[in-house]
Amino acid sequence: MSYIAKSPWVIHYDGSSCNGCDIEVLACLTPMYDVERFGIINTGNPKHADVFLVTGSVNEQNKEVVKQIYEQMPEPKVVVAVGICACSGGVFKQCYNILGGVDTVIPVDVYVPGCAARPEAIIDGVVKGLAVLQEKRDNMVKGIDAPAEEPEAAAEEEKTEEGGEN
Amino acid sequence: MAKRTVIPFGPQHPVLPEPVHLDLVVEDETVVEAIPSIGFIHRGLEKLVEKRDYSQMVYVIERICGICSFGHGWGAAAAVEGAMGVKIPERAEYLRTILHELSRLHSHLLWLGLLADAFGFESLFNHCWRVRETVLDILEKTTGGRVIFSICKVGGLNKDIDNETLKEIVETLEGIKEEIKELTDVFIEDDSVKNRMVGVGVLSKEDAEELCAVGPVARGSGVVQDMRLTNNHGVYGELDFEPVIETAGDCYARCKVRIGEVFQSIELIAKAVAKIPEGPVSVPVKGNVEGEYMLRLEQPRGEAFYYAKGANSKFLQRMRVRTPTNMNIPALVKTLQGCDLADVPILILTIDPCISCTER
Amino acid sequence: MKTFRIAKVLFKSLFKKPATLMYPVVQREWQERTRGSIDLYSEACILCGICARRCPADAIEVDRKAGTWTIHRMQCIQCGECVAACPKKCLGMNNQYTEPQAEKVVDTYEIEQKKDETKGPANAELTCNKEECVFCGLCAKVCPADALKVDRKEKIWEVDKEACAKCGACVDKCPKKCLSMGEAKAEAEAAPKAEEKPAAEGEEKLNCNLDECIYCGLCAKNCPCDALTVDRKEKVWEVDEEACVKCGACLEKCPKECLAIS
Repeated sequence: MSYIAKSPWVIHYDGSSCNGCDIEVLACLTPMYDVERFGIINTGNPKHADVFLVTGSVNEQNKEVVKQIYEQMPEPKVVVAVGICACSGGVFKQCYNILGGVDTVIPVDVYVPGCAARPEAIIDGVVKGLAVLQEKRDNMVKGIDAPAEEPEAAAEEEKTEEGGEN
Repeated sequence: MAKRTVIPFGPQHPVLPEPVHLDLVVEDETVVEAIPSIGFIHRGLEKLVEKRDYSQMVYVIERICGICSFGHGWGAAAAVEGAMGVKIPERAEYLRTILHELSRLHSHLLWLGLLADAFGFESLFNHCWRVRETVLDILEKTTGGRVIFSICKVGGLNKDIDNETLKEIVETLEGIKEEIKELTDVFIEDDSVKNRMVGVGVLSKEDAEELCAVGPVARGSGVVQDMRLTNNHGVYGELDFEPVIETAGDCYARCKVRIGEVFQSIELIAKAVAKIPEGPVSVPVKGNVEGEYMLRLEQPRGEAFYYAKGANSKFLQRMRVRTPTNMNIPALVKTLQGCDLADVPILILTIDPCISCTER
Repeated sequence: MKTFRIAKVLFKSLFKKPATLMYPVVQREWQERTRGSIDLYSEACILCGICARRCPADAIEVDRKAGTWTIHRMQCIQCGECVAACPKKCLGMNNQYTEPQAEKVVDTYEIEQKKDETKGPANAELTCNKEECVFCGLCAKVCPADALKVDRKEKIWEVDKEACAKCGACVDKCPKKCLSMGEAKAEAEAAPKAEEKPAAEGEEKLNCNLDECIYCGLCAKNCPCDALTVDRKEKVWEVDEEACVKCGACLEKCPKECLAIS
């Protein structure tokens, strides 16, 4: 864990999940899993956050909310999609109001599978996300912008693909 | 007259794990009107009946909500069983009752924690959730999942739970009873908690009846209404219990109802384990669904309604679910009128909102 | 006045072992039933595709021609429906969840297609030798894909070729061994004669030698048509002549060999 230079703050938003992943994200903050020992704090303010945890898939109404929260977060930032609904739409993929995974709207750095995602998996996912965060930060210090753009381009591609399917 | 201001509340808000949006019209610090707008989690899963057959639908309906998922799975399975005229074995009915009470236990402990969090009592929140993990461990051991169980199917249960494990469950629950008692005493007796809840958000019995409040919200206002008493699901008729009723109708009363139900659930599980018969836990179900069936089931949050209709096909024609939070929103809007702006999070939490249930 | 009621709890927890699991330094031990991810034991898989059809989340893809079985790990909801539905029992539930990854994990397994005579080739078709068939309906009962339709009165045995996954579950179950998984042409010859034979069978009757019978009820349990009633307490053994198809399934199971068709 030595690469966590400072304590990363997390913001959580519930896309259209069933609550299962949300309460598991909350469970991570409680004594049994206690991610605060890594300095991770759940904040309510996107402007304070480094990691964006999204649970649940994206629908027409919350598309703008997710985008807005993402844009309000300062660089460098990492998006972790928690649960299979956030990854790809999951069991609700074919519902009429579901656009698909979070990656249809914003670029995702780490996918955490599971229905509902286990707290252990969420911790693993956030730790993986922190490695990405560190990488992005290093690149920013060096003045390289490129990596921030790359995932976005990849997400764009995927978006068109998914769109074709639906 | 003071100047009116509209304060938007949500969908992304620190006390809310789920997105709900309220436009609060305030005069000074007092809320005069609350306009809820929902739809942030609408998925449209009832429409999925066209693509998923009746046994797959159980898994879909179960994922309406991650907190009361067992109840949803049970409701969907029981509605289809009713429409097909399938009689499930008695042991399965008992096990479903036990699992449902376990999920009520975990839901109420979760809610107590969130309530403590809403008035800023962080350590109480953490202790409630620590105790809740014991219940989750039991659920994981018996069903394989922490919050989504996938154990209910049309015709019974996927897996049996042997009698030894059931006895262990009762012993474990007896063990944590003392711990829960210590925590709930804080809610009931501590002045700092009482100051935030006593007399806040009073919902009179008449209002509760008129606005069709359900579950703990109605019972906190003195309405005797518990679907477990109607005896159309599970084996509650044989377990002999009285619903927990409080008459004050404020946040404190609603909190007391849920605390009472925590201990009631532990008691009900012990009674059910003592009576459980031997036998199979499922019957094979094949063929098409013909006919319709309606079922009302008591969820941790109140009465839920399930309706299944089949037209001689593997695919249901209609699957309808009406969830408790949906019915409690009018009561919430009523109690929000005239309250302090600072009390809004507590008021929202005392109806135990489950937005993903409401919007499906 | 009662304030600081939480003091008791706080004081106690000062002296208790921490509740924290210390994950990831200490690994979590899974329960036996923990649902983590789906395993495929590829030797037994026949690419029938029932798992893909039963999956509520469309996470499994089966390509018969290419001989591949694919699971989208980031789409699977771990409900266990495929594990329960698999006729070959080649799917299992693993306790360990799929590792979080930077991209969506898709696992593809290559399945070697077997050229087994009875239950094998991809172009095989399920056929019923209707001369032997007693229309007991046992095949339809065990069919995991609901592809079979049997009507005893009308003497109809039909297979829905679209739905049939050629899993062979019915072949194993058939009490008369009249089902086979052969080439498509065999059926045409067998069909015309189907009318005659069952009528002749009407003369036959299932009998039980009640002196030897111990009323164990095994025959009733194995009867595909529920034609038998056995009551151990009352010492009753009865056969419903209308329902009995004389398939002989009960004969095989009888521990005292007291049953006979004559």
